[in-house]
Amino acid sequence: MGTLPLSRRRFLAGSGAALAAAARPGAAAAQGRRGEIIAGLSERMLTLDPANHYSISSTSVLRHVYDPLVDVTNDDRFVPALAETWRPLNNTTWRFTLRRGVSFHDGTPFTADSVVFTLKRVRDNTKLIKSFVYQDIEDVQKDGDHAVTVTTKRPFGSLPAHLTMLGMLPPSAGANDEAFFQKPIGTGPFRFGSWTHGDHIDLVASPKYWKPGIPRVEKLTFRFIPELSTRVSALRAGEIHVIDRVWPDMVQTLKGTAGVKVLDTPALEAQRWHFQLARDPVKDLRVRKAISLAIDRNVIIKDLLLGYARPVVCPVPPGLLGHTNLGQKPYDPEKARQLLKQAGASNLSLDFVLMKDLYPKQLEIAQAVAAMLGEVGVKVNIRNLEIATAREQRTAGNYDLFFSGWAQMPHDPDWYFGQWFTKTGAEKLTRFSDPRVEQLIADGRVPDPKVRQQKYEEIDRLLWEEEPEIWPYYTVAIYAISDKLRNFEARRDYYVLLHEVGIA
Amino acid sequence: MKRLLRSPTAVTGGVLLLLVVVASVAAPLLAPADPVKPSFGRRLQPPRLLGGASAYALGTDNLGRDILARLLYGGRVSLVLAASAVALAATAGVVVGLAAGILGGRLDDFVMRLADVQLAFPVIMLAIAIVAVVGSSPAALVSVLALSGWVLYARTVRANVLTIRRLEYVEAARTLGASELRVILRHILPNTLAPILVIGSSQFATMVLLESGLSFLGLGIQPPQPSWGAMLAEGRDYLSNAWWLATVPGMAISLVVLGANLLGDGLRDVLDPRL
Repeated sequence: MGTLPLSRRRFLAGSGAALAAAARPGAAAAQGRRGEIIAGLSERMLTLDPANHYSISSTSVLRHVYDPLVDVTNDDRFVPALAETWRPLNNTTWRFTLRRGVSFHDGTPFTADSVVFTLKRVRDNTKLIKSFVYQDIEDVQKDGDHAVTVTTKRPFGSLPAHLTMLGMLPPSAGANDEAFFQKPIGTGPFRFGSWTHGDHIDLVASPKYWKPGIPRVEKLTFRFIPELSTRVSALRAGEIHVIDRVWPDMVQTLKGTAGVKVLDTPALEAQRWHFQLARDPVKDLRVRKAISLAIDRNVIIKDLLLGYARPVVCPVPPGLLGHTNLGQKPYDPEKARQLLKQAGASNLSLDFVLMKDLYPKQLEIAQAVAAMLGEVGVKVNIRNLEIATAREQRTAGNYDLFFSGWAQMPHDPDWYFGQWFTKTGAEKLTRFSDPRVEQLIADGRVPDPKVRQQKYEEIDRLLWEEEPEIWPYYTVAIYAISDKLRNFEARRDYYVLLHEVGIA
Repeated sequence: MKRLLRSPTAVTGGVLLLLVVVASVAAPLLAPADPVKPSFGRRLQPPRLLGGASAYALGTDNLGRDILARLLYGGRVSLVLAASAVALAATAGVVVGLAAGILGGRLDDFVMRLADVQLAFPVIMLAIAIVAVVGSSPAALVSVLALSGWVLYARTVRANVLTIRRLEYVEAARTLGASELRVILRHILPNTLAPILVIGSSQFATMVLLESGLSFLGLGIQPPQPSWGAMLAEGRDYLSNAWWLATVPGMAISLVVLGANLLGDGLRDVLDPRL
């Protein structure tokens, strides 16, 4: 609340600028571009380097400054951005043809050199957070100025999907990383204005964006407001135009506010609470099955989340490659008790570890689960720990069940499977190890979507049977916006994308 | 005692505290429902006075649990923790203060510098750091709270000892051959009791607040066990649509803090001869 006076002043200044712009029928009006949008994001942006984060807010903001090669639509289709077409030449070679006539904010043209530079940079500079994904790249060759061939050490079918999260940089960025990211340029619809760490970032429309008519506003500001109630009051007061990560309990209040609209969409995220599979008693499949049977997922969805969640029918959410409907997990406390008896597990006591304040309503849901498991004779100790402490405990294996979600970035389950269900990936997490799953994951890395779908369905079935995780629900993403916004799309991936959005 | 009963502040404070203590002790008898067991169909029912169902005098919380029951059981947690912390802090503080005052010298210097260091730390920050390291068991909480409180006693007792031990009656007792221990127990300690009582009762208020603060931050008693601070924290997210979730425990905390402070003030008026 301490920042309120400042924000109000900035807001007034902003609207003053908008008024001034409206009063002057200059170049901006001629292009049909006017006004300013201010968005309130729940998570602080961490960096201006598109290769050095996996933060959703940073992805949202930086998508406006940099273009990736490939974009992904809200219905999970991969569509051209800076690449016009792409196709696999064989299992380990991808070829991209690039868009012509695109230039960076400083006027230099976008060419194959940018792609070669960006990809080699993220592979070779292993300090970059995204570097691990691109280690499989063998070489990046340009083929003229507008085509690139990427060869990989092993099949890398999810490469186009990963590229949706990697903004293209000009080769000149290589001269001095630090100086470049002080005032970065990309080919995106907005130029970088200024960034006040932890508070807000200002972006200004780029006058010669390659997509005609885009962007539709002169100025874009992202404010970072982690506290939901602060975000909500700023929106209701008209200080900002869009907020993300609204909780179900807030929806009624927001719907009752004049000038505010609430939008929701099934998210790409599944809640999945994982077991420590090397630890007694949950390494016993019967115990895991019993725990799964004892949790009434419908109560969580209907009563605690007020319907803003959906029952899980597959570890991979609907719409994505690798999804298949396996039916809902049943709720049967009686059977759970029998299974526990068979397993000889009486007086069970489980440590349920939570990362403090990370997921909406997590403490409430955990308490509900504790009560449900109490009904079948399992005592649950809720341990709500600081995020870093919780992760340490997970690495050390000091937990039975760990409260966590997984947003299926980048609209492809390869990362999820590779991280959680291969021996090396899960070593310090769940201790999952199953050679069958490992083989299927490796086989599923090829570019052919039909092969991938088939392999992933097999993985889904194995996981569904083994229950290494509890999948309680798919998340629903809720946004609230000012009714002055035009063309806003509630994204399944929690991105707040505003380049095609206008304001009345 | 008679003078105490004639002090309106002391009586008001005492009665307030007594009410809360009795209600908490009798929680199993008074509580209309289980404080921990959720009933999902009955989430966020308003208090009876606001038109809620008659079964829930203070309404229900985000998991459909009876707030009155949680308040009563949560009171037990808050009061027991605060009282134990005060007792522990007072004991430690008195022992250290006596030792420093009587033995003097290096020990005195060391203890008083330690006290200065302790006072230089913001209490809540110290508490957060300690709880983050050792975890939040009730024993750890009491120790953390006591750690934040011993200095007051130590300093007061030490100052008192330094004054009292030079008074004629103490000199006289010594001349008559009383042992050091007898002097301390019979002559010095009883004369420092008044300030200890005063500090204790007003510190009780601080401890309740501190414990609630830690629970609010999620460092205190772990859910689903109720505690006032945790109830406040859980209710915070519902302020816009179910304000009683946070307001009820908030009022309970205020009442106890008010009661303890009034009692402390009254005690001081009565016990401090200078006033």
